[in-house]
Amino acid sequence: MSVALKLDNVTKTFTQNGKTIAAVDDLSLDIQPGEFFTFVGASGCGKTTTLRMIAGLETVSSGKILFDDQDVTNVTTQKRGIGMVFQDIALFPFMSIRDNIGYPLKVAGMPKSQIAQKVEAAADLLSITDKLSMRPTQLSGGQQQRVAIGRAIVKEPKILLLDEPLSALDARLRTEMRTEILRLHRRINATIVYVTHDQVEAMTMSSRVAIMEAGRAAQVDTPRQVFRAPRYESVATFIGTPAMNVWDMQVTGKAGQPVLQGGGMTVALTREDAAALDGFRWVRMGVRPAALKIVPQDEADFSAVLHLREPLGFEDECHLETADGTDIKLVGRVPDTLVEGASLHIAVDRADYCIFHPDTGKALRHGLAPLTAA
Amino acid sequence: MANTNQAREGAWISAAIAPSLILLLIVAYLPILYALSLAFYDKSAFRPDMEWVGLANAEWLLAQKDFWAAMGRSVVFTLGTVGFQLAFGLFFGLLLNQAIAGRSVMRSLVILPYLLPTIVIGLVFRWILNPEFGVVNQLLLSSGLIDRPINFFGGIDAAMPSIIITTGWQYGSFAVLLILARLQSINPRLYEAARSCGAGTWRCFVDVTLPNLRTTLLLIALLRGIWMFNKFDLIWIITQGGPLQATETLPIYIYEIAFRDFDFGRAAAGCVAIFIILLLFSFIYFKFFNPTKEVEVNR
Repeated sequence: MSVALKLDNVTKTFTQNGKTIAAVDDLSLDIQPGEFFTFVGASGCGKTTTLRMIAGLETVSSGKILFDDQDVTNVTTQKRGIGMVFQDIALFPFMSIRDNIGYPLKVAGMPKSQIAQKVEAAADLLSITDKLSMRPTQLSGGQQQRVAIGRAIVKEPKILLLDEPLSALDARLRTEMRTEILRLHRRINATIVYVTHDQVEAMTMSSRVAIMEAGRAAQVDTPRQVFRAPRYESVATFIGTPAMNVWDMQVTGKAGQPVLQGGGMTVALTREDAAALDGFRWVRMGVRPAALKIVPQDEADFSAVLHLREPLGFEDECHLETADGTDIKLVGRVPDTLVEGASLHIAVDRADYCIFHPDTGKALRHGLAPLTAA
Repeated sequence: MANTNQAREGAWISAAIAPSLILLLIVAYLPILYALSLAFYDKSAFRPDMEWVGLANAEWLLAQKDFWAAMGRSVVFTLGTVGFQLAFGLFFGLLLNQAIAGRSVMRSLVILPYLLPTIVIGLVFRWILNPEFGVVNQLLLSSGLIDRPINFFGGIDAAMPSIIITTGWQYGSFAVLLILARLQSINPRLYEAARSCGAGTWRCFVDVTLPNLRTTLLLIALLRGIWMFNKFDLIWIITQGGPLQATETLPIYIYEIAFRDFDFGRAAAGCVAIFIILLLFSFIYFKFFNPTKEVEVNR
């Protein structure tokens, strides 16, 4: 099967104040037919620029973009046959909803009766059939975004591009539309390329994600894999709410039996990890808030004071301060009897923590490997 | 309590705006009313008294062949200049909205004609278009496009088009400014959305630019329509209605009744005629185009 979308060493540079800045830096990746592929990252990481290059709205400084093995690098937007949904929705204000959705078909010169049929079908799919004769301004934000999606899919494009489509909506609607878009993806036969700064959207919707940092993809993987096996400290702390706790740890101990020491705890290393850490004096250790457990004193790695607890309903998010003054977070089912100010004994889940290179942030070890306490 | 408070507040507001209202009444509305009332009197510039004649002035005016001819010329002049300004505004508005070299300089330059005094424009164009010394005729002759110089303002057929172009040139920059401002307020995402739907440059223009400009173009047409129908100064400076009445629009015609024949009553009747025409024009405009939408920015 051919690759639906291929980025081949794609670079986009801008010149600002005489300096050349690479918004997207030598990015290469393949997206398979039918995938829900998400570019996620903080603002300025190059994710939107990448999407706009795929759409043809931005030129490519160097490299190639291929749809179905066809080079489209120099093909104009209108000839790429894509569907696109924009962050600010961008419906045509002077047209009815019907005309908005039908616009791509009208431009393509389809007969009116056929357009009407397809518009009805798209509206039905998005449950906006009763809004067809209205104007965009008469609709709520969520309904407008549905119309924008309808306009993007009515031509049944092979590639559907969505640029932060939910960020203009309020929280509740966002969750609703997330499900809606997923359902749509199952029903239409299109490859979806999605851009968001919201890691929850990226994690919940995508078949694969690219974590973008400074114009490069720090990691391209399934959401599960990105969460469990982050390749960089930056990826690990970006994905997951609340963010991963990270400590500076000293590599000490006897030769042949090294331990990590820091944050008031001592963690023994397995033979494999010891080999990976050979030659390091300092490393960074990352533990997800949910991989910290409240335990009896004799099982604890370190103790900390409970500063604040935020009930999430089923679980609580606890803000803790360790003996050396580090703020950390713990998520779990905490006994109701624990009040703020209490002293807690905490253990690190040996099956789920990461070790990162102290300078490059590259993961030297990540979760799901056995480890024993010192 | 609330009522007394409201009443007191109302009194304050009235007191505060009274001075400007009175001033407006004295300097604007009273003269207008006086001028309108003159239409019903026989009033010569040489007699202190005036005599009530009712609709006699209007009857006389409507019976004049010259009046109807001037009316026709006014319509031609108004349509011509407004059309010219819209075309001029659209062309340069679209041009200056592009990322072209020297755009900011061009944007400043385009307003220049609007800043020149009318008398300067009148005299300059009389020189430029002069059949013997004018640069336009020189260029046309030397390039071989014409054999004999064109008498732009002096020829019966050429005078009206020449006046229209001169006036349109002076006020075109106003249209450029309004259109440019509106163009810059169009969400660029709309063009990107249109392109992602498969629209090329022409479709983008028809489906995004024009609908967004529609109200602006109508506004220019209304405002400029009124101004151009009343236009007097530039025509008077350049041709004084000549040659042989070729450029004698309604304002020129009325001016001549007032200050050549010194018949203020009949001239006032002519003013009333213009007033009624413009009132009708505005009424149709407001009736069929929603004026609140003029200033609304749709995104």
